[in-house]
Amino acid sequence: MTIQWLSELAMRLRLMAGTAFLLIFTVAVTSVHAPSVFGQDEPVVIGDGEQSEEEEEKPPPKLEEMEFPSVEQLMKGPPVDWIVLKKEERVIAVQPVTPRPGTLEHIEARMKKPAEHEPDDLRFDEEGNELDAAGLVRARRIWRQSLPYLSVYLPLDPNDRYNLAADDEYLLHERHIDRIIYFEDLMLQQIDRFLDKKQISEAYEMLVALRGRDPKWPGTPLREQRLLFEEAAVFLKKGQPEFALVNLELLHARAPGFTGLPNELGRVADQLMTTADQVGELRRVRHFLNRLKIQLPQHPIVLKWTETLSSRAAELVAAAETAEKAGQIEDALTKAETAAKTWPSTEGLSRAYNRLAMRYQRLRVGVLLQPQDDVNVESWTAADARRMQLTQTRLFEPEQLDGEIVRYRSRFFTEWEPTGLGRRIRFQLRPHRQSWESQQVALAGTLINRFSELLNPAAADFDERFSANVSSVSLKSPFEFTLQLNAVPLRAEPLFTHTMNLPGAFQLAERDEKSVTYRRTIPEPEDAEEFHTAEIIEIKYDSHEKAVQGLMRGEVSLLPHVPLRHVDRLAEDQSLSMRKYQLPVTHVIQFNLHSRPLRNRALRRAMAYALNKQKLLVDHILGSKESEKGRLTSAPFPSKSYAFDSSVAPMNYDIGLAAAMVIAARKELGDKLPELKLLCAPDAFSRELAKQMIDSWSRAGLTVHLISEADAAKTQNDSWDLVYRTVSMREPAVELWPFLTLQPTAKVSMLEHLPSWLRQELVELERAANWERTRELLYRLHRHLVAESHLIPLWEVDQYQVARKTIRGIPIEPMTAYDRVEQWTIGPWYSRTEP
Amino acid sequence: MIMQLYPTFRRSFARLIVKQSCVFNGRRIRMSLVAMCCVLSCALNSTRGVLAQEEEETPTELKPYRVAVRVAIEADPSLTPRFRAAVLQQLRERCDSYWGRMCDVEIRQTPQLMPATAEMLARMSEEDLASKDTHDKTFVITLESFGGGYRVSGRVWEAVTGEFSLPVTVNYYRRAESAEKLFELLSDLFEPIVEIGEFDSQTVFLKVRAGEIPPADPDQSPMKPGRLLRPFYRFLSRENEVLRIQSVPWTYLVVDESNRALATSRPVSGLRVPLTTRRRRLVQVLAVGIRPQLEATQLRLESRHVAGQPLIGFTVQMLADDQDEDPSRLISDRQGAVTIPRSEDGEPVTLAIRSGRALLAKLPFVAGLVPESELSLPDDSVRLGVEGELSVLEAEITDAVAGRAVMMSRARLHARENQWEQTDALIQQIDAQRGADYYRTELTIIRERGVSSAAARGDRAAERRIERLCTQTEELIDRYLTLDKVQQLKEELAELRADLKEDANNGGRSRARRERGARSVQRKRNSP
Repeated sequence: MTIQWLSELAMRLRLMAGTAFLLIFTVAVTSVHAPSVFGQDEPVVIGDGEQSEEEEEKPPPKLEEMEFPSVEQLMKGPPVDWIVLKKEERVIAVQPVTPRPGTLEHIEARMKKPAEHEPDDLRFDEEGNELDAAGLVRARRIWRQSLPYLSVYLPLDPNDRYNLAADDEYLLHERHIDRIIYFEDLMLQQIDRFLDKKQISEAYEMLVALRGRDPKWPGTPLREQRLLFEEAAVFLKKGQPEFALVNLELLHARAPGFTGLPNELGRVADQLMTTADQVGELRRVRHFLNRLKIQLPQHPIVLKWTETLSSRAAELVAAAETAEKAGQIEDALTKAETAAKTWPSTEGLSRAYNRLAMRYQRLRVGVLLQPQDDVNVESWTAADARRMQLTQTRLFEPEQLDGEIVRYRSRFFTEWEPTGLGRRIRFQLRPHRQSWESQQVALAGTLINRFSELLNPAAADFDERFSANVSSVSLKSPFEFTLQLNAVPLRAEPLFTHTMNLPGAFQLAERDEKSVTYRRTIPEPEDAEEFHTAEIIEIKYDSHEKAVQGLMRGEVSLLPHVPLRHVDRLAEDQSLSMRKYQLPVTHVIQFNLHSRPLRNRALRRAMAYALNKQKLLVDHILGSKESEKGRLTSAPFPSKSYAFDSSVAPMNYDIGLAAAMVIAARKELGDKLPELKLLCAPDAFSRELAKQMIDSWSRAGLTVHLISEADAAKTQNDSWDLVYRTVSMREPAVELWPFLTLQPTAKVSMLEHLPSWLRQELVELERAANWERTRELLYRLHRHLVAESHLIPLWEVDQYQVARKTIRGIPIEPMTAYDRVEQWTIGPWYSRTEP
Repeated sequence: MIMQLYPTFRRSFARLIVKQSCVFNGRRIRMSLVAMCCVLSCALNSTRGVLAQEEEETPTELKPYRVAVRVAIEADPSLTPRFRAAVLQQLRERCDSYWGRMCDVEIRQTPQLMPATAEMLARMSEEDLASKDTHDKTFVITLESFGGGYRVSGRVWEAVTGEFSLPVTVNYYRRAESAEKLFELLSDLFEPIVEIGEFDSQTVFLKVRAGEIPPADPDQSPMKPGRLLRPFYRFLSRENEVLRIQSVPWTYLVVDESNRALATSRPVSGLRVPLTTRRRRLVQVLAVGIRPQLEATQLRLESRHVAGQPLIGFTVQMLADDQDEDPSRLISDRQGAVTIPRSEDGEPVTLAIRSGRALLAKLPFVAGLVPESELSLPDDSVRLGVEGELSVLEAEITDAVAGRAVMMSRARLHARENQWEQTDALIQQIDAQRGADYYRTELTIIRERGVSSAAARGDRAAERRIERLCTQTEELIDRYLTLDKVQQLKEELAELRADLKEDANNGGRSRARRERGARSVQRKRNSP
């Protein structure tokens, strides 16, 4: 309104006056002579000349009548300053004045000491020629006469495309100006309004816009501080006290004296600590306490919690000592551990903890998956393997990889000698056990009972392969028996892959959503010279990153599987020891033998060609192209295995060929492509990889759905088409058949859905009695499996285990996650660092 | 003595006493008492010779079965001597009344089987009886108390086949039923013996032993429609001694119709010519009734090439009579065995033994006759090896064809967009691909290797199958890997390129021609 009025007025006067040098302004109180110093486009002097009647009718609005600019105006402009006149506090809105802020102060200073503000070009005329002395005096006089005037421009009119009037300069004498309300001040006012209304994000946007205009505008820091404070209150109200604490900490760093800050900091930290304490997360309590202590060391909340925690820890230490005296070592250790988490620097804690932890050695392990109750081969995970290793017993365990061959050890036998040209094996049982061993001595009768079950076709555990290989079992003495074989086996040990009817070294003791606890089946004697692992607690984490964090914080002491991208970083940590497993793990896509569409070779090969395996490997597993910890593979067994034919290359990525194959498959399947269902392990990492593969297949024109975690647990034979799984094959000659048929043992009936030639090759492999023939058959199988795409071998990655150096006895290159765990010694350690 | 040895003579003699004349072997004889004495004397002196002569001369249909029944009763206090005598007497009466003249039955209690139990009977071997008895059929029956009731078990030794049947056991609870149960058991074990007469591919004519002297109870007639018979040959010496007995494998006769001594049957056989058309005097072609007693039979498949090697993982299909019905499939286990259940109607089931798609054998089989049976077959390993190699080759061919199609499609696309560098690069790649000649060479190697291995084994069927498989793969190569399509593409592209060049020289006058060319490319691309 004011802008329009002023602009119309100026235009009209120019037309009336012809020369348009003078402007009569109604508000003007005194008349001032307006010198022309700026050549032809001389400015209009506001406040001089005659008054017209029209102008008197439209005076500028008073300050209280001014309409506050909208948020849109403030954010998008055009910017407008308000010049508040002394007369009745009338306001002229103009384009932002300069210099700013402190415009009036600048004019005043210029008037008081003109010499200091004299422009350098005053001594030159318009053509750049130096003025003579008279000319300089005249120019200096004219310049000095202009000093009390403020140069203003009419505001830009967003509706006027040309804005001609906005280019006209007007001069306003400083004696008429009461004050200037800058556009930035208007923004600050709006920010205040937002903050009053708790509109944090709007206030933040305005603040950002203001910083964009002038980062050092007076009043901005205060608004920023207020924003942090008010936002903290909002966070607290929303139930996000941790965010509130962060805000308050930031505010404390900027303005420690901000009104109400210490109280609020204390209140938020107290709330956080109380909540963490209620759920038993003592490390978290200490973490918040520490944060508060850094900001306000003498805050009453700091003192309160310090006292609470330290006294509680002292009580726990005392209780632990009492329990120890009562012989309740396990309970005592639990108390000492809680004390260590509560207040690590408690006096006497270290001594008590070390003593107890050495006596009852508890190992905490960070894992991603828990073992399943009902497990089948396709949904078999590393967690199930760990559980089986701990709780079940096998006659032979893999000891080391000797070149291409795995060597075995047995906890039961002192010797197992082949006699009768290899057709008979005499087993000599150990009559005693070591003090660290967690299992009873096995008697020949017990083992023979188990063999009977395996040999009896009517028994549930009947094993076709074992039955075909073993013709009779004879008991010689309680510690000796003999097996008569039908044929000389390639190797004897892989025949005995069955779990025995003896308890495992550990038993599953407790289980909840977050952890699984295994305890030693037979505890070590009280008078033992040295103690070993007594209890293993597997703590579940949501992701590899969380597990690594848990290790660094001291929540766990061992990660059985380290993601490859973290291996190098963790290996540098002096407190940790990184161990590489002897066998790598191979990731494969396997097809359901019962899935009819996937019996089509073109479809299977299309799926193999559609996967950019190299990219998936680098992006999701290795983390960098340079890493040598993983490689593409063409077989489900390790590339260093005797079964691996290195002349068989992995299938290349060729999306064009995949699409062509899909078209061919569609024709063969009756012009209709099925929608396939993919099964995979329930951990987030595997599922993410599975989703990436599904995307790749969709690019080739195939629809694949990922079976949900809930449905994956109750899969039937016909409820899935393909499975993404991992395998670590020690004995390909023995394990390939069960692997291909997705069965725990080699059953002939499960070969039904395989092509007859593949069936025959597996049977021949079973009959092979020498290494040459075995290798020849495995090489042939390797070539044929790739050609037929009976499975898609993806990549082979090395596996690593990381453990605290306080754990001793782990083999340098372990075969399994808990390789010889009964002999491990878990040294006492708890985190003393401030969280 | 005579009466015991020769029942037919016994009956004739009895008549002579009454009428002083008799019809002996169909001839009426008048003789005085003295003459009768002479006859008696001769009979006493040369009993054996007379018997043999009469046996030879008596037609089969008039020849009754000579049946011996040896009953062993458990030494149990509850089974008193009186009870034993009564049981034997009742059994004798039943045999006479039900079977009549069809069988000459001699029933004796035998002390040989100690203890007289089913288990002991099961252990008994045929040698224990074969040399001791001269009857056509010798039944060995045990009777014992079992649980709260009784158990009778029996086996029969068939002199004509020299085989001892599997034991059959019946339990019952009423002691008074003992004789009845014993007779039921005899009846169940009784199998007819027939002479095979004329035959063609559809019908086999049979002459039934004792068919003209049917049993008193028609239900006891051993020949009924639907009965299964197993044919066999008896090779005799000039002295009429049995040299050997040879079964006709995988062959059964199913009785269609029976009228006293004559019967017709339908041959069911896995052999092309199951019965010989040449008849020799010293070879008897006979058949004996069979009745499945067991629930199933384990059929073991063995390699014909490697003795004793089981054929593992082979498919055995049990073909149904209804062609629309899916055959049930079995897979041979690590012993090469499949368990064939007894068919409900008792008829032979047709088994098709396959190795992959190849049919190795198709034969009838009656399950339940014996616990185990064996079948030797070619192991098909050579053909399977070839099939595996061909599978790899076919995968390579499929990849090559699909890859070439993709590159040709891309080349056309680049050509249409005037990107000739990329087009030429793709044509180069297509030319660099392995062609039909390479795959033909590979195929020849596989074929030669397979055929020579099969020939070395003398496996003609495998040779034929390998040839057939290789021919199919060769057809694939000829159909999909010819260079015609590549040549056609090159011509199209050359034409298009020439048009474009001309177009550039003539300032667009041949644009119409080029568009025509592009349309032609598109048309050809869309053509199958």
